[in-house]
Amino acid sequence: MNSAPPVIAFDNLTKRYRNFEAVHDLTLHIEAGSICGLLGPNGAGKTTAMKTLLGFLRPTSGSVTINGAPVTPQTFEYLSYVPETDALFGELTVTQHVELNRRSQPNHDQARADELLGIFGLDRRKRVRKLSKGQKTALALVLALASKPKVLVLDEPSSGLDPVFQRVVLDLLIDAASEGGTVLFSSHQVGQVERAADHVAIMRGGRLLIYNDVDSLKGHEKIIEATFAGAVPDLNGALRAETVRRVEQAGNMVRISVKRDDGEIPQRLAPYNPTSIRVVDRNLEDIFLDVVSEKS
Amino acid sequence: MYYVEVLYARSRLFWFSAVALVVAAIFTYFVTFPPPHAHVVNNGQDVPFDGVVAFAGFCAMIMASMLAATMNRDASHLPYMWTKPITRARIALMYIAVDIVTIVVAFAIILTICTLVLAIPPRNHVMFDEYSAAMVARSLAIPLMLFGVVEVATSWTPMRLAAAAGLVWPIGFAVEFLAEINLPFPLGQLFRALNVVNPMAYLPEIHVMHHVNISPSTALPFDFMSQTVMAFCITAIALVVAAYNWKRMQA
Repeated sequence: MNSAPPVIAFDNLTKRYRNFEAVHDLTLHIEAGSICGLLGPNGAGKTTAMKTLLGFLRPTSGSVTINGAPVTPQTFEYLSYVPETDALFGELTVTQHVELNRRSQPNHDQARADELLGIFGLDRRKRVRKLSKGQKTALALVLALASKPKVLVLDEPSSGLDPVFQRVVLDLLIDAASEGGTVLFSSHQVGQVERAADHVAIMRGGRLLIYNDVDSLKGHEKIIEATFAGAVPDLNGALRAETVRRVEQAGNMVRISVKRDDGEIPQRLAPYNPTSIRVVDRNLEDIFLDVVSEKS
Repeated sequence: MYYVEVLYARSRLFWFSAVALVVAAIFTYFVTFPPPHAHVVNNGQDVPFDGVVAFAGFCAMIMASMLAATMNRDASHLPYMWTKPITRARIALMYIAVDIVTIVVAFAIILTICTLVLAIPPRNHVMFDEYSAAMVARSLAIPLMLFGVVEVATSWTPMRLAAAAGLVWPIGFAVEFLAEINLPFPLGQLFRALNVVNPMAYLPEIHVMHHVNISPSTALPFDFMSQTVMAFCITAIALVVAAYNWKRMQA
């Protein structure tokens, strides 16, 4: 039993703007060394939750803590944040940004910054306004990682990056967690979360729908693929079960998403004489789409 | 974080000084080598120091406008600025300190350039009087007040309000005009009250006839020194409130 407080804790957090509730009663605890991917459609409340965590917004009710304490300026000695929007200074060069980081961040590691600048191939003399969106994202990541933070909060960290650098970013996050760091990142790309995160939180309309570790989620949810020699017969009778989430048909194959595989559905399909029945783990994208559409 | 503002202020100060030097060079050239048939007034007459200081103060107001709304201007960078182990109040005060120093330096640069230009033959005689020290204080107070008023008007929100730094000029002169004409109650009282926090209302009245005469602004019901003290007090209060608003802002 782990008695240490969670590194990142949202407790019954609600954030309301006048009549609009951006986050509703969010409770989410992220343990040390974990990478939590925060998924959700636009307007799900991901950015609001992160901004409240970092102190940009005041909670309407509930609380947010880092290592059991509210966020103070000293928290940012070991916490780095990569925002969704471009927050860098357009008139400053890459070198000046690194210098600014060195002056304002006591844990700044110049050798690490140089290494990361090399990895992303950033031209140090260029002004930020002349960088592409992906390069700006890369610079924000360099500045965030240069202080070797214990806690990383990233809002769409691979936004604008090409697939090669997206992979690099995910590897950096995995490296940070393997060294004991705790990572919370949001993304629209389910594949990225699936690759890097060990836990996933899915939000919609300001509410947390699911929070679990990725393997458990994928393990509990299965897809049964049944192929027929000819046209797919009418399976309505066989698929009337509580465990069935969704049925998709493509040609002579039917894909049935089920909450758990207890062997019931393959047994029910057997009388229809399929040429093959295959049970596979569901991917995170299927789970995300199901959860988001189901709860709506 | 003040490093960002130092870079910004340095760049503005560079261009400000460059323009001032070019204007001074052109002026000096035409005084030294006047065009044929031109009547050059600059013939070794007495130049009151108060006038030079007032001019330097006016130029410093331009610099104050270039720097004002400093915290609002950087609102889009808050996710970067507020995630450093430095208190927000300290960041705000460092920004304000850099800008105040820059405004004072701009004032000193213009004063120096003017003094050098006046020293070029035929030499003018800079005349000091009992108001000289008071004029220095007043000429510094007005640009600082302009900076403070714009800061307090813009620092409370992440919405882009940096245009206020330019709009403060026409609005300030309009308020001063409306305060001085006899508008019916309650408009007259409203504009006279607004005038107390209007930097333009603190500009001294300069009369140039056979000699330069400087008198306190008639738009305010205080004497010259009281107006200057009020300008400094309003600046200080405005900047403290601006820093507090910025610190408390949600973004």
